[in-house]
Amino acid sequence: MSDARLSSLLEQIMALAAGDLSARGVVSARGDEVDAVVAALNMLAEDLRERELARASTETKSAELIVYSKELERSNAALQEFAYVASHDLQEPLRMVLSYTALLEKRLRDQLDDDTKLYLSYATDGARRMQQLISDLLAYARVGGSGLSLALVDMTTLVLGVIDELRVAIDEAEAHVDTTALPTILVDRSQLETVFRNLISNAIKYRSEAKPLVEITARLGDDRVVFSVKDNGIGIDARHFERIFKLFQRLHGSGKYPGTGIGLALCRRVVQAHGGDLWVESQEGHGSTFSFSLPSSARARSASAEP
Amino acid sequence: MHRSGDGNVRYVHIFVVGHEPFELSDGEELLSAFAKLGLAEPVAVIADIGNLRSVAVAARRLMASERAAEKISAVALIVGSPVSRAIGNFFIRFNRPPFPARLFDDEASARVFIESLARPL
Repeated sequence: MSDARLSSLLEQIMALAAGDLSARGVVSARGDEVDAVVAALNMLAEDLRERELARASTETKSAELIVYSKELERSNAALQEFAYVASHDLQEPLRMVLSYTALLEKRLRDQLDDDTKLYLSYATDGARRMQQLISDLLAYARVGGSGLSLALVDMTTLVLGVIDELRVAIDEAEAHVDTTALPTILVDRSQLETVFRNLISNAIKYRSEAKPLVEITARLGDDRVVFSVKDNGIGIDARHFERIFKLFQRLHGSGKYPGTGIGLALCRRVVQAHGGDLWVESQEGHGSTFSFSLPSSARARSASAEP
Repeated sequence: MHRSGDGNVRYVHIFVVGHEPFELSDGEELLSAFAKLGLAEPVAVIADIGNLRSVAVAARRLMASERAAEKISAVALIVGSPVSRAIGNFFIRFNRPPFPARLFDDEASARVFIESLARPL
């Protein structure tokens, strides 16, 4: 081996060792062992250089994704804030409309004819419905806005509390609402109360001729807990299964079944914010079962862990 | 192209001539040449690479890809020099083609390997 070829090979090795992956040696026409080492080093350098370029490209893409994700987060937060403020600010003028309509009704009660009284009652009713709508929208906007306030919650106690809260409506409908033992899991208590309040209220509201029977159960899977609220109400046609979870989508007029069309959209949003999903199984005329899953990693081993 | 007595193709023998680097375009040309053979199944290949001095990384990747495996069922590389042996070893060990591949010093041994493979040709 001549000194020149040895020096050249050594230079290539040193350059590669120093991180210069563009360093290449010349494979001579001899094609001997020295050339074999040079050829192997060339291929190694080429592979390493390509990997380095791929890594740099991945890093650039990751950095771009982080920036994009932060921008999206900021834009989402701004949108949530806007929805919250807009809904909140709308309440004040509405309160004025309601107060002054009530005042007008009170002062002019004796001077108004029946038609005008009816018009006034329409105005008051409309304003009240809008107030309810704004209040529901505020609740909807809050779910994505301030994050979750997670704690270990005994779901049996939570559901029994909601049932107590709905006692008047339950008694009026002569409904029977029952729950099995439910697990203790990591959730936002007030938001899960909202979910059960909506689902149980709906089960009573959309009742059939029969006395409402509502059953709340939980099924533990490997990585999920599935809660279900089953009723014997009017049921839902399968073609409406997705529509009912959309904001402001209602299957019935507000005359027969009052509501704003936000309840189920709000429930799904709460469940999704917890990393789960909400769905319905039903057949028109044969009751409905609303189920939602939550990650069971949030499930506590003992109910005594609740603060 | 070598055929058996019944007319089926047993293997294709290719020779790499000249000392030019084997680039991606050479690999593409080789695969399209295989496509032009119009064979129903991938075929075994004996490749004489004794004259090779270098192979571009993209060409090595192509020849070790699933695309190449659609045309090639096995490869016996005949290496006639330390350089081609280094290239062959690098290809088999680091690019890892998804079909059987081995290095041989002579054509006879390469043929024994190819014919020992049970894969129908």
